[in-house]
Formats: sequence, C-alpha cells, structure tokens
Amino acid sequence: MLNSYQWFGLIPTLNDLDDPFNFAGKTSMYWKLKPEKYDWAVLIMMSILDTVNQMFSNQREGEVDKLQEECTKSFKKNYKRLTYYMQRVQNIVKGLIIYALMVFMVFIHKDLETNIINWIFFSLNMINLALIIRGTSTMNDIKQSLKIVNIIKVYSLTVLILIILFISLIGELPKVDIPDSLDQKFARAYPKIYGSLDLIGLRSNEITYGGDIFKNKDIADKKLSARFVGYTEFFLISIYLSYHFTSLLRQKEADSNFTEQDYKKLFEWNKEIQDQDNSKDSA
Amino acid sequence: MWSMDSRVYEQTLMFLTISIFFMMMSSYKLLKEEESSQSRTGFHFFRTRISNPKYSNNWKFVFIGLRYIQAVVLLFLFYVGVKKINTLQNLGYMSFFIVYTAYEWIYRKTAKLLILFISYFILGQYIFSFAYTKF
Repeated sequence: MLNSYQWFGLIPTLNDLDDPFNFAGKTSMYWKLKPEKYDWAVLIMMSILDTVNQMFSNQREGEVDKLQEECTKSFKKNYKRLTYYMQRVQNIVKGLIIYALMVFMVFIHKDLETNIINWIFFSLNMINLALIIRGTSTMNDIKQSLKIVNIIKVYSLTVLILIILFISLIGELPKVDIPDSLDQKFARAYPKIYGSLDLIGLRSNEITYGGDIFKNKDIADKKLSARFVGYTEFFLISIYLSYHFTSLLRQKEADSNFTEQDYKKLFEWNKEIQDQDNSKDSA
Repeated sequence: MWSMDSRVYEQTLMFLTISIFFMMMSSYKLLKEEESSQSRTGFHFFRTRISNPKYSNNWKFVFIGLRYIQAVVLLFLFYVGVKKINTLQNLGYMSFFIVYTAYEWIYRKTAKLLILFISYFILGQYIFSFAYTKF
C-alpha cells in the first residue's frame, strides 16, 4: 500500500518506507514534515520563470522577435570580428553536426534492447543515415530525408506517450502478488499480448527471462531510464533535423524559382542605375 | 524545534494553512489582471535599454538569455526525473520536458501547469503527513 502512495508522490520518495515522513522521536504533529529540496527548488524556479514568461507571452505578436533582431543587429555592429569568427565556426559546426547526430542516433542503440519498437527505430535511423551518406542534395533527396525525419519525430513521440501510459497504468514490473491490479487483469484478459510485452518493447527482456531485474530494483530503474533517455534523444534530434531539412528545402525552392527573367531584371536594374548615374554626371 | 502539545493549536494552524491555499485560487483572477500590466512594464524596461545606445550591451545579452532560460530549468527537470523514472512525479517531469522543449509556444501558454503539478506533490505530502499515524 505504501508503495502505491510513494508512486503517487504522497510520501517523500527519498525516505525509507519504515518511517517515510521521518516522524520517529518527534512529539509535534506540526513542523515534522521535512520537505524535499528538489520539489521546492523546482517550485521556486518555475515561479520565477513564470514571471519572466509573462513578459514574453503577453506582448503583441512579433514584438519580442523584433526586439531580439535589434539585439542581434547591434551585436553584429559592435562586435564585427567576433561575429565574423562566430559565423564561420557556426557554418563549420552546422555542416558537421548533421553527420555527428546521425551517427549518434545509431550509437544510442547500444544501450537499447532488441524488440519491435527498437527495431523500427533502428530501421528508420539506418535509412536516414543512408540518405545523408548518399551526399546528393537535390530537392527530391531533401524531401525524402525530411519525410523520414518527420516519421521518426512522430514515432518517437508516440512511443514516449505509450511508455508513460504503460508505466502509469500497468507498471514496469509484473504485480503477481496483487491479483486485482491492472497488470494482472490485463494478463488474464489478453495472455498472448501480455506474454509478448518484451517482444513489443514495453517491458525489459530480463523480466521474461527472470534476470537480475527482480533481485535489484535499481537495475530495473536504470534499464527504464536508458530506454526513456534514448527515445527522448531520438525525438529531440529529429526535431532539429526536421527544422534543418525544412530550411534547406526552402532555400532550394527559392533558388529553383529564380528564373532567366529574374536574372534579366537584375541586369535591367543595373542598367537603369548606370543610366541614372550618367544623366546625373552630364547634368 | 517548537514543540506544540495542544491538538487545538496544531489543527488551527493546519486549517489556516489549507484555507490560505484555497484562498490563493480565488485570488488568481486578481493576479492575472496585475500580471498583464507588470509584464508590459518589464518589457518596456528592456525595450528602453535595448533601443537606446547609451545603455550597456549587457542588457541585450540579458534579454536573449531570459527568453531561453526555461531550457536550463527543463534540463534540471530532466536530470531530476531521469534518476528514477518509475514515479508519477518523475514521469510528469519527463512529459513536461519533452513537450516544453519541443514546442515553445505550449510552454509560453501553459507554464503555470508545472507550478500546479509540483504544488500538488508538496501539498499532497503535507496533508497526507497528518493522516499518517504509524510512528
């Protein structure tokens, strides 16, 4: 019972379950509860942030962006050399980071177990890596990469939501000793699906094969953390890559729309300027 | 530590604290009206310092820093949450981290949800500690 209360956050998670509120030896009913410092730290930080947030969210649309643009312009004007070097470094990093992120996305799989969810991730990441390694950058190629990255983005978000729901409702470890738990009801209603949860990827393989995960709860937590961190990384990297490919595509589209007529306009404009200058000189 | 043996005092103090909490909810509307004018003042403060060249360039750094400062707090949430994911609180932290990092506009509109979420645990533990008698 206390375990459930602890899961719902009604008991401090850092204390032992024998004396969860550290009440032993204290006479007063009030002032006994020692609050958890992380909770208070987050509460205070978020309250301060909320004040800052109000400043940005209550403005007219575009007003904040305009002010930020003004800041950037001012930096460029006042720190010309620094801006130049930063721009160069940024360009080099931008060129390399795509390859680094792709390799990292494949590298994450070293901490993940073999199951259907991870296998789909692996396939998508390999296709994405192959498309990038191909090295061509036509509009069609960029569109293909963008499609794959968007699939990874939506898929990783779906998996993350699915895992959060699964842990909240059914739980990471089987609750064999609680027959009325949702876990056991699920096991009775759909035994085949329940038996394949490790194959799907919603539970660790070690649960099925009775590994150390049952002896030490910390191992179960570590496994779950590794899985969760991996999927979060997939999601965040795919957001960055999606933004990158979208901007690349827009750039390509703008280049392809620049026709012969536009070049002619440029020369005509140049000629008009020259004519105006000549007429001014002769006057 | 202040020792209070009288249950009457103890319970009076408890009800006072809880009633203050519920009064906070009713005062939310008043705060909302105040916030709007306060945020205009804050923004005006920065606009003056950014547009006017006589002020230091550091104000511009502060302005840009404040705009994206939530990323630091969200990373802190991730650090706290990832240690032991299998609790409602840490799962919530992870969800907030994912959604707010991915979509800034959601953060801008619903940042108060995180404050309510954390308050639930602090208040929940506080009220539950009164009911817990096995010590």
